Amino acid sequence: MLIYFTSLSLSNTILDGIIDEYMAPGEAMGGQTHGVGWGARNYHPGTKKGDQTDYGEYNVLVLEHLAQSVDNPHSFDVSEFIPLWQKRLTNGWKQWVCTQTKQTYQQIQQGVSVNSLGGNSNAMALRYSSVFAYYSSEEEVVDAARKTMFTHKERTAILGNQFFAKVVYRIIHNNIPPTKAIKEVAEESGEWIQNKVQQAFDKVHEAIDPNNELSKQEFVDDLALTSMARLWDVGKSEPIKVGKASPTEGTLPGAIYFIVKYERSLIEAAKANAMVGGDNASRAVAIGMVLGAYHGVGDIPEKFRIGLNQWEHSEALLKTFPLLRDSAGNDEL
Amino acid sequence: MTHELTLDGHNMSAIYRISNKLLINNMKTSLPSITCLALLSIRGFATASDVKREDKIRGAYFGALVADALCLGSHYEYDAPKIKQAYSEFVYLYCLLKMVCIKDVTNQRY
Repeated sequence: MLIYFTSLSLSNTILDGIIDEYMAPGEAMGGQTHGVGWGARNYHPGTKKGDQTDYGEYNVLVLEHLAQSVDNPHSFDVSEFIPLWQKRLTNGWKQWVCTQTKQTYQQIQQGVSVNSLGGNSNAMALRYSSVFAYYSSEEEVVDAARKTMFTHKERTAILGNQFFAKVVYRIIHNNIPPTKAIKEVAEESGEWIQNKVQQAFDKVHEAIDPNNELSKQEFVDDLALTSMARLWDVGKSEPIKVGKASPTEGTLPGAIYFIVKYERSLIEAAKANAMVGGDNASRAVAIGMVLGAYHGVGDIPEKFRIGLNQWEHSEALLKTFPLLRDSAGNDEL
Repeated sequence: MTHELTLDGHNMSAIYRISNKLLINNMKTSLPSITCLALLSIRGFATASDVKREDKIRGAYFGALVADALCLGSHYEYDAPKIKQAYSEFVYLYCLLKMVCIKDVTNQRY
């Protein structure tokens, strides 16, 4: 009996070929990944299995910043955040440092005012997963979300940032499922967001319709994402498939695609997203926040809790936050 | 004597969390699958909408970190077939190691 179950488990796992473990950068791929336009390299050279990419690390940094003021909660202030941000960037930052972070760092050194900071990258950078434990109103959450992305000032990146802040807030406080929250926020948004949301829903229908060719493809999620945005001819030799790359025009519908298609499970969505590659970490924060809020922390399997290197540190800080401290210690799983 | 249990949001949230924990433990100890089926049935009644607000808030934070950490290995790799091949080989080695471990702990039963 034991042999039967073990063999079955093994063969199924190999056939699926789906990530089921945290892995170090480029692990099993020669230690490098190939960022189109940037070439092959280890993008997170100081990290190990169970660590965060730069997107996740920014979320930990915002958590650490807010933890300093839990006894005196107030609006997110970029000027208060900058000293900690500078200290971390210059002391043991193990991850990729994005172009907008570098540019903003230089702007501060040149004396640019806080309100004018940031570059024009259209990449969405969601860094605010901890603010839901700190602020109780949607306005405060959206304000903090915008300010944590002070390194960016491009219009679509800001729209995507605010969109997911509202969606997550409503899942938590209005107790509605992701699909409903996404539609609700989209209806209140402008044409650009509405078109992107519709594009994502249409693509999910296409991908799960057994009569559609896309649903029969081995790399259905990969094809779905790459087909949702245009190709960029950069570097002449390597056209970027924008659907999988960092620009919000691809990451926003891409994240919604995984949220809607895999709404039943945070981990299934997270694994499927990791398997597609590209700037999967950008999408991951949106997917993780939305489905994590929907299913709750109890839906995260024990092995992914134990294996996450930031879990204990984050948990110790998070439970001191205004919206959690009254219930801290009562619901440990 | 009969007892009436009202399945309100609070109760369902507790059932959801407890069944989740039991399921994980159950899979670890490889108890009979009928137990798993029963727990899955219970869990099916307790939907995600019954999750407490505090668990949702913590879920938003840790969901983001877990999903991000799962991307560390493949971040910025644009070749999906290459990712799949890499993980298949990794999983194969992982399972081989696991089989050796099972063989050890079961004392030649495998």
